[in-house]
Formats: sequence, structure tokens, C-alpha cells
Amino acid sequence: MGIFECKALTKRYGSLTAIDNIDLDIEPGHIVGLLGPNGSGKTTLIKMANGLLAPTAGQILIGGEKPSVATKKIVSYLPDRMALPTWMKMTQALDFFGDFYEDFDRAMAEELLRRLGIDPGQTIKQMSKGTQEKVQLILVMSRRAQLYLLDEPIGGVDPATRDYIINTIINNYNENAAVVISTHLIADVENILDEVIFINSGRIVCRDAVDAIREGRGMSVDAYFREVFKC
Amino acid sequence: MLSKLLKHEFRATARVMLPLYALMAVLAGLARVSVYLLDHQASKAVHWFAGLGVGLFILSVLVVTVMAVVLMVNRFYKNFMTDEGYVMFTLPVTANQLVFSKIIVSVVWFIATAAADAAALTAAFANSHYIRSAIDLVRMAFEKFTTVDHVLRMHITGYAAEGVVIGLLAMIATCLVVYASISVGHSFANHKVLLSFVAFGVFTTVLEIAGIALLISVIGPAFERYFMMVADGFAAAHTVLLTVAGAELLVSVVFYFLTYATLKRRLNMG
Repeated sequence: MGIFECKALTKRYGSLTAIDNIDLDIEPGHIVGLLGPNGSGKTTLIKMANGLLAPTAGQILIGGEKPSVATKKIVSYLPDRMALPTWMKMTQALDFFGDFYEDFDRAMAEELLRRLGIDPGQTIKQMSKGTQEKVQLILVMSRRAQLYLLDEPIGGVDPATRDYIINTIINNYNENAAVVISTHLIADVENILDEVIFINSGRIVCRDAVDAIREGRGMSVDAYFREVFKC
Repeated sequence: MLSKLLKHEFRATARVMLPLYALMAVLAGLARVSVYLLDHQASKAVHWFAGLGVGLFILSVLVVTVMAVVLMVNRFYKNFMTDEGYVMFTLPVTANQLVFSKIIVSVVWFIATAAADAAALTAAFANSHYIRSAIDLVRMAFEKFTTVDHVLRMHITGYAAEGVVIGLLAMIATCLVVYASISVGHSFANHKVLLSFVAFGVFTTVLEIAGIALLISVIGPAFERYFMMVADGFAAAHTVLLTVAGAELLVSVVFYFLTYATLKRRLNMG
């Protein structure tokens, strides 16, 4: 049984179909790229997995259960925007995650923050945008979760910060977990992916192992993506 | 998990309210000195500054009171309807716990603010004579209470309990009408804040009409029965108080489920 399953999953906003009858099964132990152009349905799919949106039809299951309090305990979610309350001091943000998530590894988070040189007494509001993104990622990756859902983790940050974020993901995720990374910046993440799912207009147009794309098609995932989504 | 939500909600709100209470306490001291100067100094300049001191204190009481309400609105809006909602609605807690945490903390701050306002006003303006008189009054009332016959004592205890319940329910209902307005307003695609105000206007108008209907149908006839000697005064007063409490409870329940249902439909929570 996959940790993340979709069965005939559909999401409509009025007449617009954001997710169109998707079937999907992601096994633990894989880093999966959910790749697609803007507006392809990536964020909608991740929001449904987190219980932030309700499916119009079909099912989405996390560890065999519909999104619920139980599934939220095993999913570590990075939204596509800065969502931490900005009045919080760093220590208060650590308290917050430690209180609500049993799998939060505070020592690990503190070590990552120390390496970044972040003052624990500093409020999130006082940090630069890039540092805020890093802090949010550190909190999310310091959980020993079973499923990491990372929505556009490298969107809107400079290349050095992108490298930091990617290194933080690969060095800190629970290896028995599945990691789903949604992005359209493929070149930056393709080296850490085991497999990719191409999504367009709410439909899965391709799913393959990264090695199979490189060896079978003789091109990088980025090049293949450009070919598939050529305008 | 509710206790953890409460802990963090108090942490988020105390950082605003406690400095305001401290400021009000300092200004209460300033007002007390100002009142003394107004009584004992004839200089116009001193009177001007003393008047300013009293004015600042009164302003601080108003600001603290208004802030308790603003904070109740803002915490619900900011925590659930802005980007912070991505963190709050993915916590392993139920929607009920999220809404309850907001209500409980708001009610605690309302009560704390009322107590702080009363303490500050007393500290600023009450002289030892007034305080002694007030203490004597309370003592006399208590002595009277212990000597009246047990039926009257029972009624007085009942009125006090009903009053406390009405006060608590009124605070809870106020929070929930605001929460429901924000939730309904934000369930639309555009003009969410404007539509929240519209929803609040509609809800309060409906509640006022319902209140008038209640006055005509239940409270009026209860007094009428008393004046026509059909029912005694105690029973009429209990009828009125219990009706008000029942109405507040009904409002709270209706607006709680409206808030819950709207958040659930929008966010598929819990």
C-alpha cells in the first residue's frame, strides 16, 4: 500500500477542473518530483492531501486514510508561501512545532538553525525573505514524518538559497518516508529525484523513473519536461 | 491538544494585552497624581498638565477595552483566513479545538480586561473614604443576605448564577457572531473583508429583530403576569433571565455551527 494514493481524484472550481480523474500511488522511500507548469494542479493536489481542500469526486488517501487529524500527524507540509506567524521568536516557533508534532526533532532543528547563525531570540518578521524560507523548511524537515509534501520549496529564492534548500531536504528527510516535491524549476531538483510525475491541466501526462528518462530517452528530466510541455 | 492551542493562543495575545495593562497601570498612577494636583494646586499650568494626565489615562482605558475586542477579531482572521491558516489547518487538531481555543482565550481576555479597567479606575480615582464605603456596602449586603429567609436567599443566588451565565454566554455569542461573519465573508472568491462586514451587518440585524420578537413574545408577557398578580415577581424575573440565557445559548449554538460548517466546506477540516 502506498503512503500517498489518489483514486479517480477530481477537483473542480465551478466550471474549471483543477484535478481531473487522477489515479496515483506513491511508495515510501522515494523522492518524487511533481512537475508541471504554473496552474497545472500541483498545489491543488498537495492542498487536498493536507485536507485544506475537499475533493469534488474520488479519493485521496494518506497511509490508507482520508486526510484527518491522524494523517496530519504523519505528513510534514511545506506550503508554497511563508505561513509561520511572523511575530513568533525562533524559540517560540520551535516550541510550537515541538508541542504539536510528536515526531519533531528539536535538537536537529536547533543544530540546523545554529549552522545558519540564526539568533533564537530573533522574530521571524526580523528575518530576510530567504532566511524565513530556510527557517520554515528547517522546521518541516526536522520532523520524522512518513510523507513530506513540499510545495514549490525553491520558488522565489536566489540560487544559493536553492542549493541550501535542496541540501537540507536530501540530508534531513526520513529515509523510510516518501518526499513529494512540487516545482516547475526542474533543473535545480532533478539530481535528487528518484522519479517524476508530469502533471498538466489536472491530468498526469507522464510518470517515470529519473534513470529511465535519462537512459531510455537520452536526455535530462529538464530537457524532457521542455519537450513534453513545449508551447 | 486543546491545552496546547490555548497555550500558544495565550502567548500570541498576551504579548499585546500585558504591555497595554502595564501602560494603563502607569497612567492610572499618573491620573492619581493629577487628581491630587487638581485638588491641591491653583496654578493653571499645573491644572493643564493634570487634565492631560487624566485624559491620557481615560484614553488608555478605552484603548485597552477596544483592543480586547480587536484582538478577538484579528486573531481569528489572521490565524485562519490569511497565510497562517496553512500552518493552523494542517496541525493535528480538530476544527472544534481550533474554534474553541479562540473563544476561550477571547472570553478570558474580556474578563481580565474588565477586571483591569475596574482596578485601574479604582486606583486612579477612588480615595480611601470611597473604598471604605464600598467595602462597608459589600459587607452589609452579605450580612443581609445571610439573615434573609432561605427562599429569598435561594432566589438571590439563582439571579446571581443566571447573571453570570448570561454574561459568559453574551461574550461567547459575540465572538461567534464575529467568527461566523468572517468565515462566511471569506467563503466568497472576492471582496472577502467587505463581505465579512456585510455578513456581520445582516447577522446583527437579524439578531435585533429576533430580540424584539423575544421581548414581545416572552419577556413582556412574563412582566404582564406579574403586574396582573398571576405570577410572583421572583418567578417573572427568573423567566426573563432564563429566557435571555436561553436566547444567548441558541445564538451561540447557531453561529458556532455556521462558523464550523463554513470553515469545513472551505477547508475540508478535521
